[in-house]
Amino acid sequence: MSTQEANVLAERVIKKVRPGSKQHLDSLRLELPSILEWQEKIKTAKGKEAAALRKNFKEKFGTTFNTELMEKLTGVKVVAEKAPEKLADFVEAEEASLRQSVLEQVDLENSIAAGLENNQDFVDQSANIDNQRVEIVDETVNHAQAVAASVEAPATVATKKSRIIKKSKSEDFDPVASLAELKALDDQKQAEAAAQSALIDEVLSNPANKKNNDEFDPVASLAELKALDDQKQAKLEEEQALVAEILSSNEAKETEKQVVANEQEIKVETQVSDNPDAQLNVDVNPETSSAVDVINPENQETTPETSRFIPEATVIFASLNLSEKDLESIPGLADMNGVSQLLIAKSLKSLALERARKQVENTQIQAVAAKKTWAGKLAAGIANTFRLGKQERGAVSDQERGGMEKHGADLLRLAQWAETFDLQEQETADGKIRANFINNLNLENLNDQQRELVASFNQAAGVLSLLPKHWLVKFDSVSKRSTEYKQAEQYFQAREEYRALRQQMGDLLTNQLGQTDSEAMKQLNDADAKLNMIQLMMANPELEKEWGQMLKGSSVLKKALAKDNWKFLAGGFVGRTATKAGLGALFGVSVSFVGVPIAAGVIAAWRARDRAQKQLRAADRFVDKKDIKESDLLAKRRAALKKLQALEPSSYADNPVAGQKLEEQRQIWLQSLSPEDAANYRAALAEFNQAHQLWQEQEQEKTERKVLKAVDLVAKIELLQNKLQQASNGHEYELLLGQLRRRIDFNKDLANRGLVNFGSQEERTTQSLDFYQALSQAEVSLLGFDYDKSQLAYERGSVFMEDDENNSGQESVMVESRLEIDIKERADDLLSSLEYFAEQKLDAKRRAFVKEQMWKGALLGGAFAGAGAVVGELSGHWLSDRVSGGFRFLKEVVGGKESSVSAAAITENVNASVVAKASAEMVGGETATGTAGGTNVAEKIATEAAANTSTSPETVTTVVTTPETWSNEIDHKGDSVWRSTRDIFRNQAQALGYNGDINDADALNSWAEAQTNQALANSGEVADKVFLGNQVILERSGSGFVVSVEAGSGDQPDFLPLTEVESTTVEPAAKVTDDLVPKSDYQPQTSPGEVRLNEGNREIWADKIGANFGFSANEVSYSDVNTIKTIMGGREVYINTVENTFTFIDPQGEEVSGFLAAEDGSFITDAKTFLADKFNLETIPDPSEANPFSDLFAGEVPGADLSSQAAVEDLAAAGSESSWSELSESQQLERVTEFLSSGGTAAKINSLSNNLGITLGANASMGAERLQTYAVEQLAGITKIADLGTKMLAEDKADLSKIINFISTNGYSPVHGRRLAELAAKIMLRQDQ
Amino acid sequence: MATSKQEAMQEIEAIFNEGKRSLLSLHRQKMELIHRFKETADADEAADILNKLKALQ
Repeated sequence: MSTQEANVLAERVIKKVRPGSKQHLDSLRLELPSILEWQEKIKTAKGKEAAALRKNFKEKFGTTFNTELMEKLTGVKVVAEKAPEKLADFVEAEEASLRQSVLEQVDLENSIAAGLENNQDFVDQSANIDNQRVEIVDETVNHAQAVAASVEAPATVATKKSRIIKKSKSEDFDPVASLAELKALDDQKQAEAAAQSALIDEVLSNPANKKNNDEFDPVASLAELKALDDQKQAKLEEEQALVAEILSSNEAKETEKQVVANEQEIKVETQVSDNPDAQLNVDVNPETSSAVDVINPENQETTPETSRFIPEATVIFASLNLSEKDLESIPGLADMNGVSQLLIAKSLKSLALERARKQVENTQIQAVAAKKTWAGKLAAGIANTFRLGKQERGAVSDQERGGMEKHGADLLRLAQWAETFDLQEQETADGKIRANFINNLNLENLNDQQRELVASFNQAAGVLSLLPKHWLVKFDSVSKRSTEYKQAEQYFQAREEYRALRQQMGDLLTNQLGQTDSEAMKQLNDADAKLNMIQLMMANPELEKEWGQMLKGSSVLKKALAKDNWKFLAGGFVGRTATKAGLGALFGVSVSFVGVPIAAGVIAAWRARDRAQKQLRAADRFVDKKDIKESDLLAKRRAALKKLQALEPSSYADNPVAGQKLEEQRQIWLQSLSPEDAANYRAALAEFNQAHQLWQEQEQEKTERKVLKAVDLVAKIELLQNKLQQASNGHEYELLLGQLRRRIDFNKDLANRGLVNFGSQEERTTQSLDFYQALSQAEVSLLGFDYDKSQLAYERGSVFMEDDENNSGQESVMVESRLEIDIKERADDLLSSLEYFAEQKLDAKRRAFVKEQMWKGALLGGAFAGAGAVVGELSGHWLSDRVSGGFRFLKEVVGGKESSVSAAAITENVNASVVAKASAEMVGGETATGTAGGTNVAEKIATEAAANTSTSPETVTTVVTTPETWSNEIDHKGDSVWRSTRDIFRNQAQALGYNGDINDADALNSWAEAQTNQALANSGEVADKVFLGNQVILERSGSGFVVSVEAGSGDQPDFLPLTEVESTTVEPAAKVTDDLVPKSDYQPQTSPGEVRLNEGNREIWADKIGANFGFSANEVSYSDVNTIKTIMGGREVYINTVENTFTFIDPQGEEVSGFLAAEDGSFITDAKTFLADKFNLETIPDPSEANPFSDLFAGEVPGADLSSQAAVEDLAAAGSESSWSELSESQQLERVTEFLSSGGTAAKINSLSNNLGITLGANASMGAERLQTYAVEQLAGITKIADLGTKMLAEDKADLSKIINFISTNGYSPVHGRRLAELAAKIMLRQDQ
Repeated sequence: MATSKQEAMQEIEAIFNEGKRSLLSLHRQKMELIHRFKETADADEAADILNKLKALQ
């Protein structure tokens, strides 16, 4: 019976029988072979693994696995029969388990103790504990062995011991044998062996060397103790010390040439890896060339006088045994510039190192795997640690001898790859050759200052390109004194410098050199791409260092005992986990390949924005539906329609398609009516038309959306992505996925509608680029994160679309899923080919790991591959490729080779082209859908770009010759600046550059709206109070438009001032009528005693009237009709301004209310003091505000820990809607309330509101919109209390002396104390400046 | 003292359990030690910054 059959049978039987019964046991006996296998597995497993196996066992067999069960199944004697060996084995297993748990504890301790390494007191005290630990382990093991020996014949235990010892002396394992191996370790260096032996003898005879273990800390020595007995241990330590000695001295001799080569190389490499200020420099000094010849005498002959390779690269190639002759055989390599050659050389070396590591790892894994028993594996594992050094040296040595045979394939790939991204070089004043990140810029045409900027930019890019990306990742999670922190700081500084210069470059390219935004963006994107590529390829100092270390060998033993390898000592069969540097080097190659479909994927995703728009519209519909109930206008419209329909016969009214005929039929029918009926019908029609128009206007109001800042949008995307990366699988992960997708869709929609503010003229290029890069990266990461979901969607066809009926939605899902599959397959292909070249197979698990790493690398790379493509797309190109555009595609798009075409085709800036595209409605995308993939992309680009020059809307705007200003009067109630501007665009569409069908009302509207939004975004603060007769002026400005408002026949337009309200109607006791008045539609009313308030007015009213009760504007907010609200002592206090009453809930939950009147009956004018005195309100503690910073800042309400901006982000993204502005006011209120009521968050908001002077509250009048604006504008970038301090100082809200006083007088917890001190320091710093 | 293998195994198991308990206790001690030093380090740093600030005032 096969195991499988037995399992099936067992399952069937077990279900029917009682566990433990005879019948059950009988059924289990049928399964004995399988159960014995389980037993073996459980015994060899450890910890959680064993527990999981036991659990599985129970699930499978319906009974607990234990000795008793096994005895019952196999017969009692089974244990007894195995007894002679069993006890010793048992002790050994227990010991291993004990040591494993110690190692895990030590691991944990070390990770937490990071940063205390240099604290001598700590080191001493912890050493004490470690020593005790060693003693306990020893005692326990000795004791257990003694017990075993007392029962079993002592000889048996002794035999067991000697077996171990014997074994350790065998081929498998023996430190002494290892020494012997080390002597003979390099088969090419037999002669050296004698010297080694002599050295060993010398060392052995010198007892002083025995204690050459000062550098071993107690923890490490604990690991060394392993399963050997006490006597063995001293010997072992001695031998280990010897190994170290020998390796270091031996190394010096036997690898003299290599070391020389290495040193030479380090000269080059220090510039690259050790010195962050260095560049990818090539010293063209001729002396260096001669150095190469010395280093590689064997290559000297073949080195022609006029070498086609730069010396620095030749040195590295030579270290991999690649001669110039070899290099010549690689197509294109010799023709590359020096910087590219050096880059390839270094990447190749990184790859070689990685391969060496892999080789060692595989050898070790195989050694362990070859052993069948647990003990065998243990021994093999231990042996591995002693062989590690040798194996590493061997592997490196293999690579060094590798030559073309080993490195040819990689070299070819790297060369091919490097060709695609065209890294240019540039000679600097001091004769160095440096990577040039900005192509196509003729330095001769620049003035000195501009040239200097370009040089600084290249310098900064060069510095950043040499720092590994992962340095930044740990910034917030590590001790300030750790290396990681310093690295993160270093990276952060380099990145900030690069970003600052990048912005200046954007300004230079556009505003000074007259490039279009699109061209400049492509240039900068290209620079980013190069930087990323170089980072991936070579910014890996760890790898470099390790290479050197492996060769020098002095630290081999230390490495063997390094933390990551302890597990070998303890368990042996635990795979080596350390690939610290990971597959970074591999990514250099893989990214370019995997990046191909990714770039294409982003294009596809962008084109699939149908989906985004449909989803948003679905959200709109949702809002609409909710609003239907509330909209009187819609009800009227419906009623009118019903009436109209009742009058019309259904015979033709039901015909929805034949419009013309319908009208004809209507006319015929109308003529047939009696004059009375006809009049009725016309009246009903007029009624409907009026209701319809009003309703449409109301709807139109909803399309007025806020223009949002690109920086904030980018920050939000990044935040979400970070969260996603940290989220584990599960519910949170899926939520975040959904949020990211919505965020992307929302941003795309904003971009399409021109609702993104890209900042000032100087910032615009870089902010646009950042925006599109962030979007495309998010798209890419979504593809990556969402792979499984996409797969699922592919099978089911409806995961992404809420609307299942939507076929195109399904189609877009299919496209994305196919893309995923394609990418995955491509990754598979790449792996297969790598395996082929590496002549070794990866096991499934490892393969999956590599694939995942590649995928991650690809995602990382996706940012630039994708952005390049997307920038091209946004610039008005309709690239007619699909995924199958393949490698060429990447070349075309990312390589920037289409830029010559684009320069001719793009005549509009990107912003405008985005806007224009909103009207073009994905025409290009649709064209592309029908195009077969794999066609000649370059041809397509050229053809379509040529077509674009004559037909695309982008080009038309430049030939407009109509007057440069347009105006529209605010001529009716309900009109606004926005509407008037839109009307101008709509009415003057063609003159203003609209090239679509003027009769297509939808398209025209959409275009006009987008243009309006963009124009308003460009216009800074436009007056928000307008009067009938004011003129809205639209003026051409550069490539876009600006809007201004001028006084017409009515009053002067202005921002609504406080005095305005006072001077018109509002008296303290004025009655307030809450009414829905469209925004920007405030008409001064003159009827006394009543004012119609919209949201903005309400706050002004509240501020004003609050003053009459002794409150400052910041302290009060509108609550309800005639009611204001304030917060005192953490309580919400409501004041009815007409009735002069107050209400609040006391800490016991009781409502407290009364008149604001003194005992003599006089009205109170200072309610604040009155309430504070009467109810001691100021001092009522609020549990939600138990906060370490409570009395720190100005104002009564405490400050708070702004450790994350997430709370605010959550606010905006908490619901399923795509954007805040799409929520109805009631929904917004609901969200705010929910948000504010959530524990610590309320304190946060309160704190901010007080400290930043922005009044917020938990009711509608506080203005949800204000909260959002506040969140976006005030909170962006604030992640730390110190940042808040800086901001507060800028706003004059922080008092340094108060902070200092606070810290010194309060016994604060160290952590808080430090943070406060930091805050104070930061403020101090700012004051000094 | 154990007389049978079965008893011996139990005794050995008990010995190791005892060992594990002791080690766990040491682990806790070590963790406490680490936390104590970490806190002190934070406090030292805070005091240091504060002193500097006071000197500047």
